[in-house]
Amino acid sequence: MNFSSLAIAKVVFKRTWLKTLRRPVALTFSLMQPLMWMLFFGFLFHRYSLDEMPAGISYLDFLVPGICAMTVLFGASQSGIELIRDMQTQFLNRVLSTPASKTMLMVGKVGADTSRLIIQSCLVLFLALALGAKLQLSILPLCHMMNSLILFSIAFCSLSCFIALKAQSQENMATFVHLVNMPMLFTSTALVPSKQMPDWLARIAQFNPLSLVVNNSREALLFNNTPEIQSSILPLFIMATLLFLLTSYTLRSIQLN
Amino acid sequence: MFTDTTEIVSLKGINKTYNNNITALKAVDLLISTQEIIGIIGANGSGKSTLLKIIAGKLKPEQGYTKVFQLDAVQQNEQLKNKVSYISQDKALDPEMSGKESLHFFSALYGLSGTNALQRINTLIDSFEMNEFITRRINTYSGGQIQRLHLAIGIIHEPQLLLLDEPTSALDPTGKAFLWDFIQTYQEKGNTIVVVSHELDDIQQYCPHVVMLDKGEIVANALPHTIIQTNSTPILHIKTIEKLKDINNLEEQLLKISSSINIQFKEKSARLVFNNNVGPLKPLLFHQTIQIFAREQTVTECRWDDSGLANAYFKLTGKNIVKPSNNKNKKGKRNLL
Repeated sequence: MNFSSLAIAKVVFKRTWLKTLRRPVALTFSLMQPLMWMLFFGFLFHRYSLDEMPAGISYLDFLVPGICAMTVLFGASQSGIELIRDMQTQFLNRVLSTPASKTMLMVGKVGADTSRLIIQSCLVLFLALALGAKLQLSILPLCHMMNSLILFSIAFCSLSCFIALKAQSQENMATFVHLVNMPMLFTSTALVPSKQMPDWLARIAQFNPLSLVVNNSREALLFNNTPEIQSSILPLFIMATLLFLLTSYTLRSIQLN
Repeated sequence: MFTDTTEIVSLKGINKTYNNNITALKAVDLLISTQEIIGIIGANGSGKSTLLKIIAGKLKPEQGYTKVFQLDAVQQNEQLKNKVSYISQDKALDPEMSGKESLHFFSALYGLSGTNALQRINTLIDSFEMNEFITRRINTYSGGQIQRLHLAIGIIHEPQLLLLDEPTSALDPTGKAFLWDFIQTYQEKGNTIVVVSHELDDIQQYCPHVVMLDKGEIVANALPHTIIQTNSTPILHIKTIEKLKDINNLEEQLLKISSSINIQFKEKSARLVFNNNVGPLKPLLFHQTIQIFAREQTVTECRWDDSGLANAYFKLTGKNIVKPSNNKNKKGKRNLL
């Protein structure tokens, strides 16, 4: 890696952010969505009994880590839509005609989307505090939570870009977003503890990567804990690396007319 | 003439068929020398854009080889990206970015940085006269402004071989003049330009080397005036003030001059297409034709049209100069439109 490679990632990062900021309606909606989930679910289930949680933890407290992870999931799954737009305007074709490293193009793109999603998750945290959620905010556990969110974001932004490169149409991309988001959310521990799920659903939730991110975040925000890296971060790291490499390879080998 | 040692593109036995079994190129051989301006002409679907994409290494032919700067255009494409630029018909710009942002973006992708990048961008903005609009978002640009930016991005890395796919489409006369001026200036700097276009007059005027394609085959590959000299069909245009009278009689008289003419009559004009080489008989035929028409009407214009590339194009590609009509006489030669 040299300066020129970093410059490629930097301009792609900058362009992705520019485009995000120039679409204030889409940006506002993506911020409003987790807030609405937090408000509606938080208040709808505020009497919901959390059997396995210590006393004093409200449903809103329990929900906040789930909403943070959900914000990343929903945002990351749409990362590829921008690639589809670039394919339709032939802009991606032009970018791929340059000698720029395809891996660095992906670093810039996924880096920009991930940084946006992490900022959105932080905003969700602030809003939760404003709504009265009681959260632990120690540096080390928070860093652990952020690492989980970052790796999860890298994995799902990469997966979304991979699907976009293969599907090459907005309709197919929308199908992917709908197919992934809701089933992943409802088969995870984001909204309900696994012990209060039907057994079959609890088993699925155990292998759902979103559950891992939610559990890591919950450990940090509710119990001020930092779980072991091997079981909490390593699976996410492997998933993020594999999906990122797969997408970079696909971008290198793709044939656009 | 086109086999000198400074050739930078060499195509041999290129065959390309698309998935739907449509043959795009058949046994194409082509050499392009350094510092040439080459015009590629042909009907829609004749294989012009395919040829350009094969030179750019964007398409892989089923047979044959393409060497560009002595490198395999497909296998060694990465090494060619700094030397070759393929500028497509699609403008391929991001409408939400400004022109300046786009220039900075692509300069970084081509590895330009710091002062070099800034200097190059400023030079392009000045030479393409883009100062007035370059900071605005692209979705506010006119067609001509978009084309300028499109070209400027295409040459940001100063490629030695520039491949332009129909660059004049949708340009007004000022835009076209600007584009051809740019092409000539860029060639004078030592670069080679290949232009695909339907604008035959422009190609004839600005391209010293013309390649004509028909159904995927090269039917002419020479200087424009050589193509015209060897392939044009003599056509005589006549215009009158009054409506043409007694067309059957006119036709009879004209067929006495030469039996192998296709005649196309309109209300106040006629077009005589001579199917064989009239050569030295041209002044005589000209005089006799005027005499025939002048008997019943006033002739305002009579001129030969055999100097254009379009004329040679029609002959080489076997396209009809006289449009077919149901209103034919027994010899099947007259078309009354």
